[in-house]
Amino acid sequence: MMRQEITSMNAVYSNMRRGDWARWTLLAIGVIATAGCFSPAAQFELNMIAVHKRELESEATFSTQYQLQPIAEILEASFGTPDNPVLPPVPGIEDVLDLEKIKMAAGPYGSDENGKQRGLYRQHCVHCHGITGDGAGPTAAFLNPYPRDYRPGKFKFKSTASGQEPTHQDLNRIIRDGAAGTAMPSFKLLDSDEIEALTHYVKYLSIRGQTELYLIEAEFGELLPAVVKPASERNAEEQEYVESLTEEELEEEKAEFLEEVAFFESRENIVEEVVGPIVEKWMNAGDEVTEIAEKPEMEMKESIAKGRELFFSAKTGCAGCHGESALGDGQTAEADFYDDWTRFYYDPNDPSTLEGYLALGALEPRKLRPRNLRQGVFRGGRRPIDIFWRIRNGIEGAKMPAAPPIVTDEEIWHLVDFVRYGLPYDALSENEPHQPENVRVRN
Amino acid sequence: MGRVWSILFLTVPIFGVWTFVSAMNDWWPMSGGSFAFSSGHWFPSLDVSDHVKDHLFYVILYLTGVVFIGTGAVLFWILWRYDGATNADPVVFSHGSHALEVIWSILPAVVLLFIAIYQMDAWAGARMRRPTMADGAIKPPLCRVTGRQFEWRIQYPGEDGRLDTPDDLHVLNDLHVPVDEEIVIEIESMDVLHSFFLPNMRVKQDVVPGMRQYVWFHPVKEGVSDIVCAELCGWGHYKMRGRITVDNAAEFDRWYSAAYAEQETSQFSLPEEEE
Amino acid sequence: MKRIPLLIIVLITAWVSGGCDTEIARQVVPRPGRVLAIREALRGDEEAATTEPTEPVMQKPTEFVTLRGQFQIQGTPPANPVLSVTKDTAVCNPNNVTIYAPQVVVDPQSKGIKNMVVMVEVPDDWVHPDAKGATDEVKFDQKACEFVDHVFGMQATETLEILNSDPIAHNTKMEPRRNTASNVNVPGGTSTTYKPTAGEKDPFEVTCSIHPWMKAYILIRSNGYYAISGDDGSFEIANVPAGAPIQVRVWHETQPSGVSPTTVNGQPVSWRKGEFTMTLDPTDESKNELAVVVDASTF
Repeated sequence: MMRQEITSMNAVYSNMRRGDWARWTLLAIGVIATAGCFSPAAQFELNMIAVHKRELESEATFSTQYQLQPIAEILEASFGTPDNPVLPPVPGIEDVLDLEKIKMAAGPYGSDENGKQRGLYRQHCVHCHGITGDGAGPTAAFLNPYPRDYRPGKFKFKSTASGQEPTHQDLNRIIRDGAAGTAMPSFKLLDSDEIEALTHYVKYLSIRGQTELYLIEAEFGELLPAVVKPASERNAEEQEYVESLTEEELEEEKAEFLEEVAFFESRENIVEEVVGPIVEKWMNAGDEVTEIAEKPEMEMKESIAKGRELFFSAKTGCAGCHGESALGDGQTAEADFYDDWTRFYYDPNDPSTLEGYLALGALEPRKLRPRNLRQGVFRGGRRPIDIFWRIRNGIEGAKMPAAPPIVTDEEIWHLVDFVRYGLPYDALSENEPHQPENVRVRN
Repeated sequence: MGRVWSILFLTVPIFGVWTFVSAMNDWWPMSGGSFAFSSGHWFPSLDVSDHVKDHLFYVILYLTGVVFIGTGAVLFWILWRYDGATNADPVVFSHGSHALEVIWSILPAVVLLFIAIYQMDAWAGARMRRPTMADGAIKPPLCRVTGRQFEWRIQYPGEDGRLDTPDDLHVLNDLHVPVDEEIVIEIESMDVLHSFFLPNMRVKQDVVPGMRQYVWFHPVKEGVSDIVCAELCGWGHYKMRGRITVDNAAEFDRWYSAAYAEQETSQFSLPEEEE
Repeated sequence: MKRIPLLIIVLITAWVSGGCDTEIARQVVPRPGRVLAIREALRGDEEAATTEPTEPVMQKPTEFVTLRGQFQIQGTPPANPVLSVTKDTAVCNPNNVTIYAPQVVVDPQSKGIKNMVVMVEVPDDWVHPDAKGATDEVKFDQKACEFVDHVFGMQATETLEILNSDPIAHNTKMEPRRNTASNVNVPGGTSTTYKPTAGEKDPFEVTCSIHPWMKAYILIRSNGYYAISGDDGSFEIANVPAGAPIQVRVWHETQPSGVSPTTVNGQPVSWRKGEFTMTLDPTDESKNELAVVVDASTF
């Protein structure tokens, strides 16, 4: 026994019987398995990209204790957690978000006592759109285009104008039909109340994300945390500033800062300043649907010809981006073309800050392309009214501008006909899906 | 102790046979409990007129079943009979049996040849005897189904009977076909290998990018069944599920015009609440 | 017994290496107590919301005067970036010259800095009736693929008419923080209108997707207390409340979080985020002038 005690590691090894090794290995494997991916309860993550952006703008880092934590706390108090969502008591919110439906979509995947599906979001959506709805789930990096980040509350394919929130039906439709030409599949085969639940959950994540952005950019981001931060966290400029203050002034500023934070956390601020206006916009979206003028009665051929003329005219400028060939290769296509979600953290003229964002999980910027209109693939739906809305309102977040007011609704209908029934089928378009040369027609 | 091994080997054919028999009869343990196996592990209902594939399946299943049980029994008997601990017989050395070897070579060859000839009808039915019209011309496809990560895009040719024209109907994952009619479907892939599988129609065909293929079947029963992807095609393979609805001709036409009208919507009206 | 340490080492190594957590730079975990407190307050329990903000006693303004001033640069102004005018050159750059971005525009004679934005913040009820509620249609033009006004100011009650004096199409894409985003195609020789609804804190970018080098800034304020410095760097804001402290903020496109000048009226100052508080003299207008000197290295 004594001998063993004084031995080195090597001796310990040599003293072990084989059985011990087997037992230990088993134990170790068990430990690895449990320690490894013992995932803690799902949590919403703070929008650190927005925080970082604000920090770069204001040249000061956020204080974890006095800014980041209160933001996370306000969000959790108002919206709950991914497993247990709640809604803030904002008037009219029940017209926008149905908590029962949200609960159906929230939480871990499984079913409740009545055998009803739960955790729909985590079953169907989370691997691309992420638990926070940041469009950066595990598969996101492999997709082109990237999944939608719901947090800015901006959606491309909707019946309302840019700057307006989408309607409930718009989101419902894209979940049902998917977005052709992207990785967004159709969930048509789900029950309609499951699709409803997911629609509500997407709106919930959007409203939560918009609230978060507002708190970061317009409220906490406006504070100067130099006075509350410990000296070790201040940068040179902040330190200089704090040193320029007298003891009294410093205390005063500190008190002011804390008062601001207390105000931000108050019901008055959350309900009236922050969430209220956001909810109101969602509430009004249904009334903001862009009207569709009646489609003029006209021979299709004639309408397509008119549409073609308009398409290549300076009046609409369509060909500038979509190209003289309509293949999406207009001269603008060569320019720095990035969507707004990417532009949020990436400035193509100053890529120096990109690294910092990528480290926070931002996705590698990917260029946008004007649509190749000869393929007949319509991401936002192929119904004539979908295309009408796309042309009349533009595509929010993308580069597609709204049609100028001098282009009449009737002219837009001709463009719709040209894009919908003309271009994809004219002689120049390759109608067939791509076939390699060794195509073999069976039978 | 040694004979425990022979018992263990005996459980293999017993368990194997039991699995098949209980699947065929839908006997599953712990039925109703929260961990119960779901039922429906055997063929889904046969919705097509053609029994030839099922028949062929059963022929081969019974043939191999007999061989499986036979070899299992022989293996058990050998292990039991010649268990080292209990067997006191002297060891026998043999240089083999020519006759035995001839038998076990010829017999499987004959069986395989039988299967090869016997299946020709099923193969021809699925591969070569493409349905024809009354005038003898080959029947054009009812629609084109394109596999795409991770959905089935379905395109009906519309009134002009030609695909890729402005009057096509495009739908997703929701295939409708009329009953009591030979259905021909053109299948293609837009990206990677998929496999177009209609379990109830006994149709399963890999779709290969760049290759145009046709499958056909003759549904005789109205109803809704699954379209699945039977080839691992990427991370979302599991969700690549569609639905095939077999309707009578009138109902099919009604669905078709409703779907077409929806696709051609050029007036906006608020949809009624779907609750 | 002797094997316990080894066992522990094995277990710890396994635990650490097996963990899936990657290091998170700043871990923010909401404190359950705070979350509950905020939630309580949200429910409207008046007890919880005790901190009734006390109205600070403010001095009231006595007069309205004009705030004047001038921005001057100290040192050599930095070179502006060259714009790559790659398309529609017949319109955008007919003479094929090098075009610089109008970022830091300095008048060589007066050393005045153009396009500095001065904003005065006062409580709403202090605003002079003439300094609010304008309902004009203000014109924002673009010519030769350049926005005519690089920095443009307006009141939220006014209507913006976006003109295009070029023969080619432009689209004006803007994303204000409070107002509705807009991205409208404006074909050559036409115009479109934009109606803001609310005042903004800072100017926001206006761009053209078709000609990505085009950039300008629009400032929408809820009142007329703003000015954009002219060619010689001078600015003027009329009807500003005097006799009570007002807040002044200075913005420049290269300093979106506020400009820090070197001296004001010859005195060194330290403004935080381009903001400072001052009280205008109601009687002696000459005291209401700001001579702001900004060091060239600021830009």
